[in-house]
Amino acid sequence: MASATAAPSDQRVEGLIREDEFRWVVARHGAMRVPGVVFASEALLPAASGDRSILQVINVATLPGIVRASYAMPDIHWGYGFPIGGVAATDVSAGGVVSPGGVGFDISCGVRLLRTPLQADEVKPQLGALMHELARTVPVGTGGGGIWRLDTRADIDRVLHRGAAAAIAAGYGTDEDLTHCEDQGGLPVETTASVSDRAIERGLPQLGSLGSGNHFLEVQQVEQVFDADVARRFGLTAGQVTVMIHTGSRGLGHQVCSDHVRAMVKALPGYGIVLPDQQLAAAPVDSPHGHAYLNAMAASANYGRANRQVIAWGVRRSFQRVLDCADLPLVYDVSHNLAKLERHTVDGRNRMLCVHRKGATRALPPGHPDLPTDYVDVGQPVLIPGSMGTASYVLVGTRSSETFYSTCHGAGRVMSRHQAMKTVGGRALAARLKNEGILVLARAIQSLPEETPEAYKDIDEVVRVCEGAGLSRAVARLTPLGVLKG
Amino acid sequence: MTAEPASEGGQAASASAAGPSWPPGVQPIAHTADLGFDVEAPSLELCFARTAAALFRSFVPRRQPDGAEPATVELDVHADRLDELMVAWLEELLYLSEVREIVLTGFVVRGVDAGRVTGQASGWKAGPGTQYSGPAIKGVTRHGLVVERKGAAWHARVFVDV
Repeated sequence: MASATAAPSDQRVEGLIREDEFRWVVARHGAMRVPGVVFASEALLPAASGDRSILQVINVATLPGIVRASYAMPDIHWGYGFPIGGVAATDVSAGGVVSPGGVGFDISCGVRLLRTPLQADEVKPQLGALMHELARTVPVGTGGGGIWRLDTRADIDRVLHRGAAAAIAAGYGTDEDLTHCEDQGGLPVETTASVSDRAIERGLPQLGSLGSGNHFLEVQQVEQVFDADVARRFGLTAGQVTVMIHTGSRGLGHQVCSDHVRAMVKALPGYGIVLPDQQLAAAPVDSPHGHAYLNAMAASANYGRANRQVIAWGVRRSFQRVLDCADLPLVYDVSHNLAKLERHTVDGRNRMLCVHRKGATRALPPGHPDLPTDYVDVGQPVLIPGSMGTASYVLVGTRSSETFYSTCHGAGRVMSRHQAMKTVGGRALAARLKNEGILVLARAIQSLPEETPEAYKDIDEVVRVCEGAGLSRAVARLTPLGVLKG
Repeated sequence: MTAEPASEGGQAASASAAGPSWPPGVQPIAHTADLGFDVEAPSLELCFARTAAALFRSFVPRRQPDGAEPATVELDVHADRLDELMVAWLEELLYLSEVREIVLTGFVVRGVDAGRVTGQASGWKAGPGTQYSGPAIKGVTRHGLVVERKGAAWHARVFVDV
């Protein structure tokens, strides 16, 4: 078998200067329009051989219209075009661009957290039955269909326009769910004309399916509460069982990204845009290509929100069947791959910005008008999935606005999938986790080690840095009881 | 155009406990989040075929189930540039394998010429019980994308999003 080679070293980067305990800066140079800022402790800086994420921070800093800085969150790691953990805002009125690569293929990939009235001790005796019921109800893995199979373009258009509300209208939840979704479960979409027939074809059968890779459905317990007042507002208390869903817009979103990157690569010369990496392909927000992408992206995001809504219905049904409990209110649903038009004050002027969060989570502060009314005085819940076998976190937004109210999105990988596969076998890993009290069900057990906890950064350290840098605050730490993987 | 089509794969991917065994001329690149390949081949056609084989070998089932229904897809893909043609070729294969629910394992490239690649991919129809050996590929990126002549051989470098 061929061994993996490190990526070429000719593009590795020096010049990262430490400004304080959690803040590192790459000064503006060359084609950079703004500096690069990385929030990390020394332990979290990209260390893998060949990791090019800092170079990617620099590349993003060349995007037309970018303001303030090209940011990287503490879970930064090497992506494609943008680093994972990248945040970049462009000024729409100054020719600022939107880059599909700054959103990624899995548009509106995100996390939904449900809470239960059950304590861990009540669930553990039924955990095996519950996980198998979840596996029967929620399709996972490569291929196959979803819970809610759509038949026509008209059917899917309703989802693309309305998001989670379309799923609720079809019986997959209640209106109360929408109040705890980012954007009330749906972004405005003017037209779905820029969503290709291929994207529609891929999306029709997949609504209500988890997919593969790092996507998961996890039954968790609240292991520790750091801020009891905020946790209580989110409905969380120690020992309580929660359910976390991590997935996105499936093949529809993947196709939309592919279609629009291809179109923008062709259009780059016409806009006079020169980029160091073709995967950063971009067009002015206020341009035909920009409008087409943002509409298709919003439609895909709505599909992603509807997907998580339908899966939540499957979770509730499973809990009803096994534990006679369908009372699983939504704590929050938030994306971590999205570009959004938001107003922020930069250099003393309130501007319309296109804020790209690629593996980064919006984290609104207390008092923000876009918060649900019952969270408005505490701030937005930020849902941070850990790796299988380690903790996840609920954080809350702070008043720190430097990063356009953004924080981390997960633990962040340190090990390639290839390396991870060498560390342990799939069945051995599942057995080890079972010994630790975590029941893992995986469709592709042999590839389970790709997601082994050792392949990820220490999520406790990621959260410590987020707090230290003022990006967000810890509310509760959740640990897995059962994991359903694609 | 070459007189003889260039092919790669054609049977179920083999694998060890530590992952798939890669087609000849394929070297995986260690990438923290996703997957990359360096591919070398004596002809451009074989370079396209091997890159496709590498991409699918990362996640297709390790064994063809008994009685699986054979399936093939014809490809005729166009793009303005050679590197874009590689992306379009791989994207077309991912799209077809998903919507037609085919596990693709064999790749024949008849020709790569003037912004066009023609060929055929073969495998078998997937079913509800198909056990994939890894996570699906979400998309083909242009990050670090290279398709170039290297001496007498052809070299491609492709990163895909997992």
